[in-house]
Amino acid sequence: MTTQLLAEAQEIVDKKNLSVDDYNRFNQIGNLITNNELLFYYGNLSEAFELRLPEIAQKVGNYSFVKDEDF
Amino acid sequence: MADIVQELTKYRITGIEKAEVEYYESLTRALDKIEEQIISLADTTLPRDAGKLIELQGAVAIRPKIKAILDKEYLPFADRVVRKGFGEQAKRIERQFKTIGIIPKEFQELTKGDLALVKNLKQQYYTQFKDVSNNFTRILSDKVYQNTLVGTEFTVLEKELRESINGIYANAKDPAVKRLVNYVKRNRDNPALKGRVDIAIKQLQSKYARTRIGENMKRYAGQILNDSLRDFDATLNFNKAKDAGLEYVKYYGDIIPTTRDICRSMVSGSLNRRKNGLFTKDEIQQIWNSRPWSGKKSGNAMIVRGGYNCRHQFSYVNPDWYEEDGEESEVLKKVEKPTILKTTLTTSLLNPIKIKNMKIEKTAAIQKNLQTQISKNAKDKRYPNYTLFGKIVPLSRYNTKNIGIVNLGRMSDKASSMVNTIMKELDELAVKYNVPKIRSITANRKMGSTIARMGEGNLSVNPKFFENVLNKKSTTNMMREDYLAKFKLGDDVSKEIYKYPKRMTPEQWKKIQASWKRPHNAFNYFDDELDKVRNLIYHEFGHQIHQMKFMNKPEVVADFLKEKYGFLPPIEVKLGNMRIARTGATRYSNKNTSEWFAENFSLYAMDRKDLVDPNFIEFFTKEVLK
Repeated sequence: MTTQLLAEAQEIVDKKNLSVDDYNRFNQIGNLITNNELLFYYGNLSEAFELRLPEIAQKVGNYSFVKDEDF
Repeated sequence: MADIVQELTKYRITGIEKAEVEYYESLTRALDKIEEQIISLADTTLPRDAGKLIELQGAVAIRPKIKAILDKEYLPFADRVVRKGFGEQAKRIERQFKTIGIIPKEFQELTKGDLALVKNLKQQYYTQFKDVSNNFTRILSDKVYQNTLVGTEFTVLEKELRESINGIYANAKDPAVKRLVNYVKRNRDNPALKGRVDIAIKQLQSKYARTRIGENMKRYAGQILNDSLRDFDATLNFNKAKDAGLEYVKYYGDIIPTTRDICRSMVSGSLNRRKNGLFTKDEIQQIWNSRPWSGKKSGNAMIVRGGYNCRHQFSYVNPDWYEEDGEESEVLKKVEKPTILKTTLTTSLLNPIKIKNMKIEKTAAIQKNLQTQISKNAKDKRYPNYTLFGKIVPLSRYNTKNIGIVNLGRMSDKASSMVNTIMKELDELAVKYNVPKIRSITANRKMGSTIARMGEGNLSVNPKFFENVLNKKSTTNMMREDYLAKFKLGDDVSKEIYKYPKRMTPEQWKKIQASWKRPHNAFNYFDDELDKVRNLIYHEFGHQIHQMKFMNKPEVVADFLKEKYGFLPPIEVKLGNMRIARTGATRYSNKNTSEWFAENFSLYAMDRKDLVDPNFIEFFTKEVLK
């Protein structure tokens, strides 16, 4: 159910501590949502999530965990 | 010579008055058609039960249809005013300078610079007319929505719609009202019947409870019609006189009962500094700056004159034309050759262009141009660096792979032109707020990806969104989100749900949507396609400010080197102390303090301060502008 996927994406963004697993799951959700309307809200959550990537980079030590080539 | 100047000014003013009457009639016809079509549309499409409006879905769906009617009937009127009306007035100004004759020939005719100015003014005033259309699309749609929401009688909605369009002149079934309305419409511009028209208006107001005060489309469009023709004349005349080196002015126009004191004093000569009634431009500005009056407009006195609805105009002269003996001087003062203004239409923070004025260029060409700029920006010393194995590398919390690179990928020419246009404004914002300019631009078409994002100077955008900003089919929720743009700061949002439950069913999703009072994003508050994209990119630039402001301070860089990914820039540290719950004009501003900052900044930078959280203005002034 895609509405639930959106709720899960929001839950990840609102987590106090983010991990590489969260990063992977968040991206996976982006591929699972097919509804344009929900993708729009996911796209916004994604911006907020990506602003927090330094928190994961701090744990990993670098950006090797990033699959998306452009960020 | 003095008489010739007076005659020529009268010729210009008469030209404006004739055009005003012609276009006012045209506006009246257009608004009457709009009134009838919208009432008919509402009558045929809005479901009712026992005469009461019942279905919100229909009330939402009517908005694009209202817009289509306004576009079809009103915009051609606006187009005629600026094309034909302004074009003819420009010719009258040219004829004036040719008839005066005693200035160098190159300044008698309309130059390329003048024509560019004419073009810009046409675009500027067309936009003002269009803004009225956009505002009233919203106002009329709101009336339908609000009346449906509370289930009022259709007749109540009908009256509100008619009065929102034509105000006191709205059509009515009552024959007595109809007769008075028609009388006022027919004779409004006939000075001989002014007294009778005023009585008819008073009767409409007192006896038939028709309000002249309040928002109606006729009032606003009529105001712009009056002022646009006169301001256009004043601006072009000012520009041509400046080119011709004419530094003295004389004020002309009739005195009628409603003439303002300033205009009355100027025309009657009671403020004269010289026998011949001439003033220097500086003297006029001093007089204007030293007095307040009702309806005064800010700006250049020679252009704004007495203010709203002012019917007076300046004419530009050489004092030699006013010799004491009344004769023309034998040897006229040599007029120095001035520089001709070359006005071109480019975007800027002060004059941000709209989509219709945007030049669409090839993505490849834009990429090349932006690359030069971005390569330069990437070297900005305010972006911190450090030495790693003897090599200088960027110090950033974000991925540094793309620094210095522009990759617009397969972005359409239109989408890349939008980015390119707004990049010019971002450069100005960077200078204005003393932060480094953007150092990379990447297009990312991935479906499940962010619309746009910013990481310490690295901007990433999703062209899919930019290419479909106004395509309601591609983002079906946009109609609803745009509709929520009627929100005003202070409206109650306490029952709004923006935090999704852990297990969200489609039914819960619908319930959540029904609770929304504010649009999700700040760009929903804008109608123009380029404005929407502009707002979105300004939002990203807001992140650039909280990420990069004060980052050039040595102690900050030292802390950054120590903390690296765990580092918090000075503004983000301060943001950490902010409480932001439900104080912004968008739901997204509730996400976190960074998004609150970016959303509010985007509205602040686009001069929608009515929607900016007052806490943001306080924070921004105290922490960023300090």
